[in-house]
Amino acid sequence: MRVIEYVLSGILFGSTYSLVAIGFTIIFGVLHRLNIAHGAIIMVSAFAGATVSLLLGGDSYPVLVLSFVVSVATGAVLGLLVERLIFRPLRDSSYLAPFVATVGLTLMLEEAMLLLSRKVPIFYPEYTPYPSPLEDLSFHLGDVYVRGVYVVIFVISLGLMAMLHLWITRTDSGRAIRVVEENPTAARILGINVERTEMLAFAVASALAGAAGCLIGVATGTINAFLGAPLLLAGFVVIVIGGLGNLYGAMLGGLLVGVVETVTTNLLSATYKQAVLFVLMFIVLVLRPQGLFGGGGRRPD
Amino acid sequence: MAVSKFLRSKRAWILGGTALVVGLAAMPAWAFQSDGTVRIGSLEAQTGVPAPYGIQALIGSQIAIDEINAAGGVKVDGKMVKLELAPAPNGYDPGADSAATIALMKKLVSDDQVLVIKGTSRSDNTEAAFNYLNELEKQGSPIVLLSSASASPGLGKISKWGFRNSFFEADLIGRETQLLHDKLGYKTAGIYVSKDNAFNAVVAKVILIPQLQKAGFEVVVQTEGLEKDSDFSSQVDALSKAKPDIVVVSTPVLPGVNLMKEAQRRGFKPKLWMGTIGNIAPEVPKLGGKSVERMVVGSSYSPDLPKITKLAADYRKRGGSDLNLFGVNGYEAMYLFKAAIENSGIKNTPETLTDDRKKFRDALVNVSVESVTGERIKFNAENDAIKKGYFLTIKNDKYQIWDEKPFN
Repeated sequence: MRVIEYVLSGILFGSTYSLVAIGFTIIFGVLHRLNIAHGAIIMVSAFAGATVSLLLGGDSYPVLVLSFVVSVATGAVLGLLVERLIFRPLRDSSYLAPFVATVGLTLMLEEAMLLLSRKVPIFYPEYTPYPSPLEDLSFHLGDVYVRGVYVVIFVISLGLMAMLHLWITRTDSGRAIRVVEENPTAARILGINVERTEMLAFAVASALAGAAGCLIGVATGTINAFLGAPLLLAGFVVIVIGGLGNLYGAMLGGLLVGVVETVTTNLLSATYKQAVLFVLMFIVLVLRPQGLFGGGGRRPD
Repeated sequence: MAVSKFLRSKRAWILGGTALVVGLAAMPAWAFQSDGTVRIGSLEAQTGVPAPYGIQALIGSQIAIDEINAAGGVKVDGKMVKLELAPAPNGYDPGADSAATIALMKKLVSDDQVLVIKGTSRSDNTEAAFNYLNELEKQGSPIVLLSSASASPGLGKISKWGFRNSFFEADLIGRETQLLHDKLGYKTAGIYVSKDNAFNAVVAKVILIPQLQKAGFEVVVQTEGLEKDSDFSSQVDALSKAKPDIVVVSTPVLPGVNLMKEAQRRGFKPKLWMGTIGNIAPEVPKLGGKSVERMVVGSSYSPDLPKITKLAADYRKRGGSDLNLFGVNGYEAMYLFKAAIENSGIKNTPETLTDDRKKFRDALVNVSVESVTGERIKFNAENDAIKKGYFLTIKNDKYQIWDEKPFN
């Protein structure tokens, strides 16, 4: 029964990894560049959401919804800035240039938030609380204990993924993203505004990062300036396992990583959690380099 | 002709001016007895993961220096001189990087010509720094380095030039376990450890388990996790199945709080949670709420003391956040330095610097100062400050002295 509980927890919490990885993979799919600042965007968005929650009182559901909206909006705005200030000017440069630039941006954002954590009275230097009415919500399904916040996170994540699927498959702007992913030159010939499509991809991907920031903050109850780095790593593992640039691979890969993490922690030891994940990634890279669900779009640089 | 034209150009003036400014900035600002200043090198982390500890230590030191200087300074060679952190105002920031720590130590010793170094903010950096102190001694440039934030057991053995006024909880844990066993009648203990945190793992293995067993406890369950864990299901399951009287937590702030929150959600309520040094931070009551109210933790100071209340107010004014024990230790360190400087007979001149550093060390070894915590502080044979400490618990979102009675 315990194993069922751990698998269920893994699937539920793993949906946040899916959101992180989807954002990461959308940008990779469209630009074929890694946005290392994706983790920092998650972190800053989480702080934006926590600010709302701390200022307006975290025990109310309307405040939680507002906090979520603010996180998503912060993510989208930050994503647009990153695209405009880093990726667009470096479009024709070596693929290493935006990589290094976003590493630099990550460090700047982390240190800026660390400084703010000291200066802003509602924040704390080491860990800032992210209060929410979901904190102590839990229930039993038979003998299986379930944290309510994980269920809420899963439902929201699933909703966001469904909306993303509909947008990508049913709308012109969504289809444009797929065309740009496949072949930007052909996209231009077809009259698609590639620059605008890339901007849109960044905004959507970063809005999802913002959503992930809020949900992870609510699940753990705390945030800090360095929360983005391990999430970025988890997101990277997810997209490698799921298939670089494959949206659906990122969705399912996130859930898989969540399950592997939770089951390893609970049945083996937390010490082996990352080792097991990286062994899994290694096996996937050796046996199926395109990822479990296949790579998406054109081949990367 | 071209050179002459260039020298007359605006660009040459700009380049020359920039070079001059950079050159002047890079030059050490000599400030010895003749200028009325004793220079203390500072190596506290202000960026990266250890920044929350380093910034506390730095601001605590700055508050003490301002107080000391406002009261006239320190007496050196018959003259009152001021203390100054070098480089002013915030010292160097080595982050969490041991290589940078060593490079900056070299700079403080050779270029900045400081009397003593205050830092670093994390045990692994301090370990590297203490080893480098032995190198400096071999090179004929020995200097004292004092850390007020590194509490990993055993570091004091590395170098006779390395000092610490951190809070070492080994003695306090011994008294606490004995009290819990003998006075309150608790017999069984469970343990949770953050395994990837070297300090927490060592404290659990070297101090907690032996002290629990020495006091007569039966350790019925040992669980572990990682610092970044967000799920504590299996650990709480294991703890609640074993039903220990007390649960001992050796973790940094966040995993400790999250474990107790998960226990509360699952209805697991030991008679008492015993925290360790990583579980003292202003954030803990705010993050943990009711779930941390049954925790007892050893601390180097009581927040209720009037002097601490004043220091906390000064700290909030200057640093914009709440004081914790790293800030208190940083503050205390400057008063240890003041006493050692005044007892050392140093001359504080460029010519006597090497000799002054040795005299300073000899004086610091024997220094005895009444701290802001109300305790008299002196160093033991390993140059670690001996502190009796206090037992604290959390009530109404605040740390307060524990009355040594069971919780309801």
